[in-house]
Amino acid sequence: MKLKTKRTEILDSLQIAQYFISTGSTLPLLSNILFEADNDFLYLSATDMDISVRIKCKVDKIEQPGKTTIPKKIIALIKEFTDDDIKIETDKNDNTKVQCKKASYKINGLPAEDFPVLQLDEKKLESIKMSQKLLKEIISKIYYAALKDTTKRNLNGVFFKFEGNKIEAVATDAHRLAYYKADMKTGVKSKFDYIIPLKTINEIVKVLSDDDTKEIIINFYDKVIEFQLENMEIVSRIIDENYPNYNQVIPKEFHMEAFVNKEEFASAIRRAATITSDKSKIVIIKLDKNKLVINAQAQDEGEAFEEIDIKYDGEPIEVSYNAAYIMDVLKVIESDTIEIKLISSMNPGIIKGKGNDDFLYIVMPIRK
Amino acid sequence: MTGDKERKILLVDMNAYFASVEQQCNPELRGKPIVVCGEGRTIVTTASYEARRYGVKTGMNLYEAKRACPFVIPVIGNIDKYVSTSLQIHKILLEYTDRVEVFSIDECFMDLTDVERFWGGGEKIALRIKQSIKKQFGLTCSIGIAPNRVVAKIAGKYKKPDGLTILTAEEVPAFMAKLTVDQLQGVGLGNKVAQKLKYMGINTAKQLGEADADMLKARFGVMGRFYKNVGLGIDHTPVKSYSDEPPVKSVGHSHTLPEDTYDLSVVKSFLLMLSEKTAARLRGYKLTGRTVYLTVRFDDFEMFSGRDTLKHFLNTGVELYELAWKIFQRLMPLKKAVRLLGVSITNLTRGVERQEYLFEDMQKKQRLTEVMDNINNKYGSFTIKPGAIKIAEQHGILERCGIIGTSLIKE
Repeated sequence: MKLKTKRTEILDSLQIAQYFISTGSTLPLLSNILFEADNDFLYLSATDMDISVRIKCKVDKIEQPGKTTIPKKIIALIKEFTDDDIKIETDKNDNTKVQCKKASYKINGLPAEDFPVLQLDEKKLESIKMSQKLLKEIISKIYYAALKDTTKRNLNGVFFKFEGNKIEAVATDAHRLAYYKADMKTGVKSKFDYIIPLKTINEIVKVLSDDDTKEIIINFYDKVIEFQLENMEIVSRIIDENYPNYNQVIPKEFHMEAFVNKEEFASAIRRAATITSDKSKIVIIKLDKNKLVINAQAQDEGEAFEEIDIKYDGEPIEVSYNAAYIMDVLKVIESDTIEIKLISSMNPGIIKGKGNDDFLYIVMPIRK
Repeated sequence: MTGDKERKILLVDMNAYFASVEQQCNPELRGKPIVVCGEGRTIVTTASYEARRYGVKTGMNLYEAKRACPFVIPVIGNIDKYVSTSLQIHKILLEYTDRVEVFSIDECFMDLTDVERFWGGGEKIALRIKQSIKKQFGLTCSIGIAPNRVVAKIAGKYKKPDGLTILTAEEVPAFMAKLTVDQLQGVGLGNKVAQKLKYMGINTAKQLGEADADMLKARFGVMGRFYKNVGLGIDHTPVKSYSDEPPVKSVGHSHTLPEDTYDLSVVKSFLLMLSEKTAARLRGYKLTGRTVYLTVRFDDFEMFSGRDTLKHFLNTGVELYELAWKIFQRLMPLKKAVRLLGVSITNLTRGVERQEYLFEDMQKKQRLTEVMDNINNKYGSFTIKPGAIKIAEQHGILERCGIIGTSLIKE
């Protein structure tokens, strides 16, 4: 393989590939990036065995097609070059020479043939095309609610359900749950549901565009899912387990409903949370006629009192929450006014933007 | 803050603590050589002074202890008893100042700088503390008073049992000059460091204090400066307040299997039992934790220890077990027989885990744990337990489970 490239052209693609490189793997090959050059394009691939990416990268000139794998230190190296013209040349022993102006580096690689690629040999079930912006919106609204460790494997991901032209997505850590539903322009013939690992979601959200005209194709397989973007393909394993029945835990009827200014509420909670101890961020929220009171206290450290004017004419109620759970959702709601809907101080409560039923956040209280 | 004023730091060190508590609880044991053992195969955690006279030492196994003293009486330790006694001793210390730092289960530092004048000086306070502890618990302690923690600790160990050693700033250099490097151990200077120092030709505190700072730095990194100061009897570390976070370090249990085994069902069952015991204690202290440690000793005495840290806190036996088992799987396939298993949890915090679950099955598990705790608190540990523990019970006696480390909880 022998090619010439502009530093900026290849660096962008390399940095995306870097997200997908396995960290802490004992297999040296997984710390490498696979370079494959045909007559027209250079393709860069990286994987950690659960998720893999293949990026199409335009370079100045491919003088000799070929393939090899190069350790990820090439990214740091190319980043540090100051001139824009870079030459990359690999010999038959997979040793790569990287040249820029008068600098010349040799990096020892490994054969491309051994590089593991997530196989798509099973039959593709169906495909769907959707707006990148919508997918990014769905993910960013909910993915923080997923369980961040693998103690319950099925919760360490985001659940997606495709049915007709409807999409539903859910993330939960068993104490709080974020739910989003939307319509797509096109649909699927059958019904698909997948738990996509949080790790995959974290990477995908980084490469999705905010541009409404850009689309993404999702290919459904039995045990993997493929995301096709303009210049890259991402293949991820799915979490092959049952997702809890979220419909059952989303309350449909409420006894109390309050309308609260989001900014006032958010800043009051953030202030009150400074008083709570680092690990247990308990805030007590009281609703009374047109007012909301927040209390927090930490043993021997102090206490917080906040009162804000709201719209509420229900029974007085007092509920304790983990402040972090409340702050999480207030960061992603866009409307100026939020709705808090409650049944009792022991039941799940809902927080959502006023008048918007597409995005719901359900949170369990802390028992006294 | 006390500025440049000479500080007055007091160290209380309980004498042969576990053994003395046992002797107080059971008058039959008083005046007799006893050893408190932790584990199934009986390692001596504390020897009474009577036993020490025969050369019985901490860390010996029971066989060695019996060889040193044929009529030594082994007693199975009960950590909860020692913890609750410690908590009551803390109350005595807190009558004088809130600047009481729990250093280990049987040692506390106190900063008397600002309060000694109310009680007529450090010596009076020390004597009153000794008297109160003797009167209330029948226990003796050694006390050291010095301008800083390092010297107070050395002074506390200087005369045992029932000693009192007081040093002023002027007396420190002469006092330190007499000490060997070995006598400095336990004040931020571990056994290994002491060995290395001796290897370097540094045998006394005086030599350590006079050693070249750059050489110590090259050998020990940032700690080099600290070690030199130890040699000089200098230490600026403040004494924490009793209300500061946290003397709570870890909760755990370990067990030496009655027979070395490759049988994974036995391993699993013991892990579950250790996890349940640990979790029950954790809940008893109203704590939750998120770093789980697994310790395994093999038949050739090689040790493995692994840990896993979660993003959330846990306090149930099943959760603890699942993590411990996950860590154990790093050892698969098993190449050697397992001799000892230990499960412990650190990174503790006060129990906020009344956080409700959304899903019914998890809510049920949470209720089940509460109900089990209520029953076990009322009728004794393991009155009600997971069925999988049966295997472990068939292989060994539950009550012989020992304790890892010196975990200590404040209330």
